Amino acid sequence: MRTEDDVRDLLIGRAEDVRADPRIPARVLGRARHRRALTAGLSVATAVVLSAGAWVGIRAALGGGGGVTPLDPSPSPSATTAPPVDTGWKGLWPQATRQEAEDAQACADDGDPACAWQVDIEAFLERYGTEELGWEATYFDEALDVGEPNDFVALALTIYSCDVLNDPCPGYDFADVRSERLVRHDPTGIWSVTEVSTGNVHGDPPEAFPPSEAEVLAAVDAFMQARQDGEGAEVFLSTEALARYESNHEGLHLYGGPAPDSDGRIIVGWEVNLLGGDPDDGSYSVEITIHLEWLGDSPPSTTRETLVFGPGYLADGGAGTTVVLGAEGPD
Amino acid sequence: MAGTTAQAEVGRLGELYRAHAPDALRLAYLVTGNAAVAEDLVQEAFVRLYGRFRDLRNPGAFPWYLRRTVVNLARSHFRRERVARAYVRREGAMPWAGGGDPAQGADRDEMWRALLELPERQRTAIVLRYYEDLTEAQTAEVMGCPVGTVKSLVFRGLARLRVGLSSEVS
Repeated sequence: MRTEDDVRDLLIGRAEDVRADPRIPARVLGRARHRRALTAGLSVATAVVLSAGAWVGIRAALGGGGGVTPLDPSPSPSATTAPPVDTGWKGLWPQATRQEAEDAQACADDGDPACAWQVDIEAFLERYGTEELGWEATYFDEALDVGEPNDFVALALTIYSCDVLNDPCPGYDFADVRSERLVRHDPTGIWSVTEVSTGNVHGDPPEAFPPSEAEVLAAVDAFMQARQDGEGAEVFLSTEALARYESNHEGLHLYGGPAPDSDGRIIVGWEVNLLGGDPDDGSYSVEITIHLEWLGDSPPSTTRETLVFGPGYLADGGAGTTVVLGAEGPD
Repeated sequence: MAGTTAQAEVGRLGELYRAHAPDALRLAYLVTGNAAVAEDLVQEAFVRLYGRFRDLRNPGAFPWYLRRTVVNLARSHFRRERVARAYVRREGAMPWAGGGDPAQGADRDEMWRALLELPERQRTAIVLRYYEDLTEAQTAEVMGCPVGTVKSLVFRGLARLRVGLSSEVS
């Protein structure tokens, strides 16, 4: 029987297969420089067009004042500062009450990693995007690069679910988020979200014609393999299709493998019947016969699903040409 | 002044690369099983992180964010590869040699092969737990999933390794 120690030894040994040249590759340097130049230009445009709060942040950082207030050793309340801390709790996330926030502040003061992230604005906003808004990752507009962002008591920034500065991002979500240090006005104070408005941008559809037969078959194989593996099948689904599987609509079950929601079923094979493409909406329908075995004494069985593949947006915010747009179950 | 600042930034990027690229490359290699892909992922991670961490107050946090970026990029890589792989299989254009580096195929031991055949999230969790020596909570943080998921991924991954290896032996 192999043990965890065997795995550890294997990994340590295999890690020596690769060695990094300590000199930074020229292409990395070039791309980093290009990115700096690009973001320097975009940060102003982004801040002005998409985030008025970020714009005043830049003004504040440059000494122009505005709605974002830099820290001061003896801050005096004014129209531009956050409201006095004792006028009522306005934090929306992550704490719902002042008491909870004060507890989190004490926890952060103790250096507990469970709370310390709330002191750093980048870590704080990253968590807000991934945990509260449900994004796979969080990206900032580069206004955050202006000055020391943690030297403020209030910041209004736009965050994105896709790296809009570097990737095409045909579809993505964004949120204009105002964050404030409500408990303590110094660089050790924890941040709270106090205002947020969200939206999304969907570009042109990825393609306007149905995927080819080979593309559909490849997508079916990859999707079914993930379902059999017991993980990762969600990345093929649109929001609508994912909702159908998650609610077991019409007897749909996403997994037939080791996943907890597999319901004891084990996918042992499948057959694909191509039903044809629809040039009007660029979709392609298939019928899949799935062969199942069951944990326990139940005999093997089959089930059928009708899936619609085509160009569209994935539940995780990306886009593809063979997204599972719709699913109908056997019931 | 701007030129001096730019030079300083380039110098800092070089320092960060020298200090952290080797560890990041090993992690990426163990997760992907492919040295060339690992190198690409690490370089991409540095490019992406460079702008965002110019003003990092705590330089000690850089390797943490680098690790997370490498894992996220690897996940994107696997997602692209999964569809491409299925397409290649269907078209029969070329055989797919698995996730590993073909040049190193000859000397792989059976456990390494079995590890590379695990679903990528199970393999990532095992690498973070047993190579990076992260706690379950830290692994969950890097992978962006609940601790319970990490427990499940590691448990299932190890179980699958044991089953695969014992069946090969028998």
